[in-house]
Amino acid sequence: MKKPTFEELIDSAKNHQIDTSAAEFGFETRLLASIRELGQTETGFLDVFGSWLWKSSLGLAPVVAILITLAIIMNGIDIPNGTSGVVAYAIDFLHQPLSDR
Amino acid sequence: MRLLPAILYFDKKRIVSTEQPTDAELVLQTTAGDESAFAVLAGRYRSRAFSTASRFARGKQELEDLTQDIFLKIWKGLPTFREDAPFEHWCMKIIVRTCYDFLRKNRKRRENEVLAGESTSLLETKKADFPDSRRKEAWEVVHHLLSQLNEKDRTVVTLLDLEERSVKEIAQLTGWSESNVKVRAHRARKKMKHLYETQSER
Repeated sequence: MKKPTFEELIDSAKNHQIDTSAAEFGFETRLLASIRELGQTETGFLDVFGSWLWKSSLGLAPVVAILITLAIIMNGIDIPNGTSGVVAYAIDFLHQPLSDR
Repeated sequence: MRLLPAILYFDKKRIVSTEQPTDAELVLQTTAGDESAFAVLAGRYRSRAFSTASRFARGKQELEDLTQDIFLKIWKGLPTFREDAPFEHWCMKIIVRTCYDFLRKNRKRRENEVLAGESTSLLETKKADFPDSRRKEAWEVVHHLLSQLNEKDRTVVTLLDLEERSVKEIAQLTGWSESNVKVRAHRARKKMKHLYETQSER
């Protein structure tokens, strides 16, 4: 059989009526049920504000990380290695001579 | 000039009219909280929405989901509807834009389907007689070709060539300029033709 030209193909496809009756059956009933469901799950102001706050805090996480790093660098705070560090310094433990312990 | 409304009978203190409410009246009733008015409105535009959506969706379930999405958007947008344009135009804009968004959302999955060579539509034809089956076959080939276009090109070709809408109308529905629609249509047809000729040669 001769292959249809592109224009003939488009013309045939255009005239093809897709049967949607099965999907249309009871559509309004399902739609109203979805609308009612939507109304029940509708979020209030506090939900929206809470969600916004949470998303904002997540967005700010890299900024906070950068600020902490900068603070560490600027204040020359060392990462504790067991013999020194902020906590050890604070309790003034490791600075005591060995004989005093 | 019509002086009296078509009042037919009294139903317990309530006057019942046989006149069909206009779209604008149904919109007002819906925004006032009457869900049944929206059901009437949905019933009026259901076939149109299904007809357009069926050119974009694949299979019954996808079609149902897409159409429901369309009407939920209409429902949510009703309070913003202004009567300066007919409801029908506003409704068609939502139908077309939701179908376009649907294509964008499902881009990845469609690309995979094309790669897998899946080209058959799950939607059934009304009758399986010979001319209908040939039209169905043609539609499946066109659907497969369309799935290889980007969303904008696909939307334009579907509306222009399959739904037979004018360039001006498509520009209004999509919000793209008329020249953009024309250029896209020309480019998309050329690409589809090339795909059709090269793919059927194999």
